[in-house]
Amino acid sequence: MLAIWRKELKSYFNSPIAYIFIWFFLVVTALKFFFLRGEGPQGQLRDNFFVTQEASLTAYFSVFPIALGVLVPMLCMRMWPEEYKSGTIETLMTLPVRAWQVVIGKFSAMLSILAITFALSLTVPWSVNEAAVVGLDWGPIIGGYVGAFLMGSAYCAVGLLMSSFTREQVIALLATFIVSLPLALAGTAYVESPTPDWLSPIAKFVGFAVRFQSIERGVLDLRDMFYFLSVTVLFVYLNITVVEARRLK
Amino acid sequence: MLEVRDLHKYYGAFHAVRGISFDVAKGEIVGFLGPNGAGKTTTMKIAVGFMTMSSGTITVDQRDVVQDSMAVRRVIGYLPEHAPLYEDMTVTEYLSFIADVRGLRGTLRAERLQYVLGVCALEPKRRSGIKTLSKGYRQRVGLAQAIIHDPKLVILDEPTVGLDPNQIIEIRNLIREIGERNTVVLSSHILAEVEATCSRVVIINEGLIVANGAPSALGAALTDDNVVQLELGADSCDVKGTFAEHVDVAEVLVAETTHRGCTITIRVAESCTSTKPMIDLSAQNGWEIHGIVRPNATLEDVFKSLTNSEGEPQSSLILANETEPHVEGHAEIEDADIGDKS
Repeated sequence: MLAIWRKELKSYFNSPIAYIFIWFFLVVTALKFFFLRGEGPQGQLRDNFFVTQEASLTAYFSVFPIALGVLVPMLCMRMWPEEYKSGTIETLMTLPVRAWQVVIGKFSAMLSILAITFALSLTVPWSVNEAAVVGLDWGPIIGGYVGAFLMGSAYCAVGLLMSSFTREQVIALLATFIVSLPLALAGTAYVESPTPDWLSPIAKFVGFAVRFQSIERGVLDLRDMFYFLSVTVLFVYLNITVVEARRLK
Repeated sequence: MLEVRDLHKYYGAFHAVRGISFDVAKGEIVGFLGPNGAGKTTTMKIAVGFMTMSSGTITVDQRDVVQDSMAVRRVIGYLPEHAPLYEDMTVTEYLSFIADVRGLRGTLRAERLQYVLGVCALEPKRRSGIKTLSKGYRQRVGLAQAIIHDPKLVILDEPTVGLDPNQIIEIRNLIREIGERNTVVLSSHILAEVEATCSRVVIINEGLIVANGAPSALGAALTDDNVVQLELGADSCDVKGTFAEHVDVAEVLVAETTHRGCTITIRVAESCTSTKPMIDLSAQNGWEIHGIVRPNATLEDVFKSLTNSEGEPQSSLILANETEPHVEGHAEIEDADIGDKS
C-alpha cells in the first residue's frame, strides 16, 4: 500500500498535474480573497481583504468549496483511466495486493497532494496575521483547514470513483465535474432559482458549500464532519467494489 | 506446478474457452499456441488471477487460483501482452516499485534488482525513462518485472510480439535462461519461437485443446511417410508423365517449374517403400537430381492442419507427456549428380 502511495505521488510530480493543481488553487483562492469582491453562498456581499481589513479567513475559506470542486477532478482524471488504457492494471492486479490496498494507496496519494496544497496556502493566514491590525485567532483557522481537508477528501473520493468507470481521461474529468459541481453548488444562492422547492431541503443537505459555511467561520459541526467523512467512505468503498468487478468480469 | 481442469470461460454469450485441461510439470517450458482469439490470453489471465473462470479449476503449486489468490500471486510472475509499463517512471523506479509491492526488503531486494538488471541486459538503461525505451527494452523490463521475485511459475503472454529478429533471438535466449531456474508457460503464434524454446506445446483452437506434446513428436505424428519431394533438372510435365507410368504414384501433390527445372511432390503407394526406383528413373532419363526429401511435418503443418477447421470436424493430437519423438523418416540427398551423364 505504501509502495502504491509512493508510486502515485511520484507520478503526480513527474507530470505537470500536481504543479498545475497546486498553482491554480493557491492563485485562484488568494486572488479572490485579496483582490476580488464577491458574494457569499447566501448572497451576502463580501469585499476583498484590503477593503475590509478584517482579521478573519471566512472569506478565504468560502472560495474552497468551488475551487476544490473544479480543481480536484484534475487530480482524479488519470488515476484509473491510465491504468486501464496502458494495461498496467493487469500487472497491478496480479501483484499480491488486494483491490482495497490499491484504492487506498491511490486515494492517500491524492490526500497528500491536498495536504501539500493546504500547507502552502498557510501563507495566506500568515500574511493576514501580519497585515491586519488585530492578530488572527488561530482556532477557527485550524478548524477551517480540518473541515476543508475533509471536504477535499470527499471530492477526491467522488472523483476517484468516477475515474474508475472509464479508460478515457477526458471522460473521467467530465464525469467527475458532472457529479462534483452539483454537489458543490447544491443549496447555494447561485442555484436557488432553478432548484424546485421539494428538492431544496435535499440540496441543502448534500451541498458541500452549504455544509462548509459554518466551517469557514471556524465552527466544526460534528454533523458536517460526519457528512463529509461518510461521503468519503461511501465513495471509496464503491470504488473498491467497482475495481474488483471490472477486473473479474 | 500448473494444473488446468475443465476450464470454461464465457464472455456474455460467447464461449471463449470450452473446457480445456492440461498440466505443466516443474521445470518445463511450455508453449501455448493458437491463432488469434483462440483463448490463449484468456486462459493465462485466469491462471494469474486477473479474471475468474466461468467453471473449472486451476491450481498453481497445489493452490487454487481463486480460493488462494494471494498465495498464488506470490509464486507467479506474469508478463501481460504488450508489456504494459508505467511510462513516467525510469527502469529502476519501476522495478523498485514492483519489488516493494512484492514485499522484497533490504539486501534481498538490492540483490534481486541487480540480478534482473543483469540477466535482462538492462544495466545501460537503468536510469532511462520507460517512455524513451524501444520495444525490445520495454519487453525486457516486462520480463525483469516478472522474474524479480524468483517466481516458481513464469507466465509470459506473447513475449516476442512486435520485436525485430535480433531482439526476438535475445528474448528467446533470455526465456531459455529463465527456464533453467523456473517453470515457464509462454504463449505465441510464432511457431519457430515455440519450437526453439519450448519442451512441449499445447495448441488451442476455438477454445479447445487440439494438440499437446513435444514439438518434434507432434511433427512426427503428422508426417506422412509416403510423401516424397524431388527437385529435378527437367520439365515438370515430362517428370509427371514418366513417374505416373513407372512408379506406383498414388497422387501428385505439387508439380511446379523452378529455375533449376522442377519440384515435384508425390504421394507414393504404401507398397513403395524405397526411393530407389525414382532415382534410377531419373538417371535413365538423364535428369539431374538436385534433391530428394521425405519432408517432416513441421510444427507449422501441425498448426495449420489442426487450427484450419473450415467446416470439417476438428481432429486433435494429444501426446501429452510423450517426450520420446517418433522415429523420423528422413531421407535426403542434396544435389546428387547421379544423372549427370550428358
